[in-house]
Amino acid sequence: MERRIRFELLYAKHGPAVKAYILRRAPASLADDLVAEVFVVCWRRFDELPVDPLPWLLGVARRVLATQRRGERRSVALHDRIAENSTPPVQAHASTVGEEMLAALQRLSASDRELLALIAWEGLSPVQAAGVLGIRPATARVRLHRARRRLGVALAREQDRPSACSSLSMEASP
Amino acid sequence: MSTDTLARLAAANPVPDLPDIEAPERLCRLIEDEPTPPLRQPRGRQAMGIPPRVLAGLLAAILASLAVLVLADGSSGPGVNVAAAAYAATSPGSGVLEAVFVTRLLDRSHQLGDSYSSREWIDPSAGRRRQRIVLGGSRGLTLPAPRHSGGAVTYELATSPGWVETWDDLGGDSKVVHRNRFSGDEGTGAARRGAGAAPLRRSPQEAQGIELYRRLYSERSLKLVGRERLHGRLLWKLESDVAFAVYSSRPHAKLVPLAAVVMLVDPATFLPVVERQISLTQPGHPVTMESDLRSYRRLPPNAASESLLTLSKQHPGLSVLTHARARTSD
Repeated sequence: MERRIRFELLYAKHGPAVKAYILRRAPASLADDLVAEVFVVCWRRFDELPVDPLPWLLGVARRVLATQRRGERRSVALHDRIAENSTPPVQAHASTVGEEMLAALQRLSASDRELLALIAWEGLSPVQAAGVLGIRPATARVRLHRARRRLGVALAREQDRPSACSSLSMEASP
Repeated sequence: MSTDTLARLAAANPVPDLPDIEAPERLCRLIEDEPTPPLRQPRGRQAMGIPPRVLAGLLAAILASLAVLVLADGSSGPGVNVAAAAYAATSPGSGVLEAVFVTRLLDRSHQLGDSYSSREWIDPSAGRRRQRIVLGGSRGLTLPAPRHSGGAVTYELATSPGWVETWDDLGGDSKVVHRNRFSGDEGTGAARRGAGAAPLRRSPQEAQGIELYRRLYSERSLKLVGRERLHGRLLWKLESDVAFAVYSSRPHAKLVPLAAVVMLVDPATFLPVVERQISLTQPGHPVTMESDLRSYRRLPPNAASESLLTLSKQHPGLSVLTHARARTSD
């Protein structure tokens, strides 16, 4: 029972952050089911949770999303039908101010996007982001440095363009 | 510049505020389906003398193989929104969908016998539906009277926007199709459980089968609550906690929940293959009806399919009695 209580506390504490992570990368209609899937995995491996569980949970969420996308590709026809017949997926709302930034982000590689998003949107430190991505902290720092630079260049290019129209598509790199 | 870039990226966060999460009840039901994880023993850096990297590679290969097997079986974690997938699977596109159910009546308090079969035709794009229910026959009909000569009674209901047609072959009314204006939809206006909650119906008999599934889904009242093994197959289990309710007749009427609905969804076809209605008014909340999907097919959009949705076209010899005055679902 004590385990169950700890689990529910963990869900209450980190569930919103996991859901926000998923909402940035998947249609809102899937979010609750995917969050549930993440925490079912968490329950299975509850004894393995690190002291700081959020990066671990986001890592699971990342894999759950990747599985969901693979399933999506395997059943394109089914999803086409879902798209036709169910509530349309909620698109990420890019504010006018953020449009250029989101367009610039889209120009980067998936791994750069994921790392930058973990730092800027999920609020993780480079060490925590490394935990999510399964890489070493030193590697994460180097990649972050380069990704920031590339984002700056992409942003400058976007600002030079007469108009930018962006739609965000966050996809975790394999 | 770099810090500024990250700050600007943070400002462009598409989900700036933490969203609300579901109450943990559904999650708890999901984990109740899971075996309790064994407590893991601390491991050394090497197990059985195998270097960690090799061990990790082996484990990854085994897990990948398992994932392929599980995915091929269609019984993995949802991967897709099961409720949405089932909704899509029950969308006939431009044609008409035909489904056959056999329903067992488990509530012995009424006099309808132990089961009936129903055939349903729906065209969601036109908002039209027809249902034919055959009561009795060889299945122990216990309707009081008058008994139909063949031992079975056929009851038909067809709905289209603004109209309901009914017909049955019980008694002297069998030569007439009654056509009524229908002003009160089953949602009955503001009968809601709260923001975003499902509109509530007055009678569980008003909608069943595929139509009921689609309505509950479009009202966002279906939740994935776990899995259930039935006849050796593991099916997804969706639940609508209050699918039907009425207003009490007292002053300051309150909504009285009548029934909840459970749907079991086939993981391969995403068709809702079992539908259960659960009484919320009886002690212990027993299952009162259980319907099994026996067949399902999509019919092409043509005149023959269209005619399946209209009672008068199915019974051309009958007279149609139109009742112009609107009635509600009361």
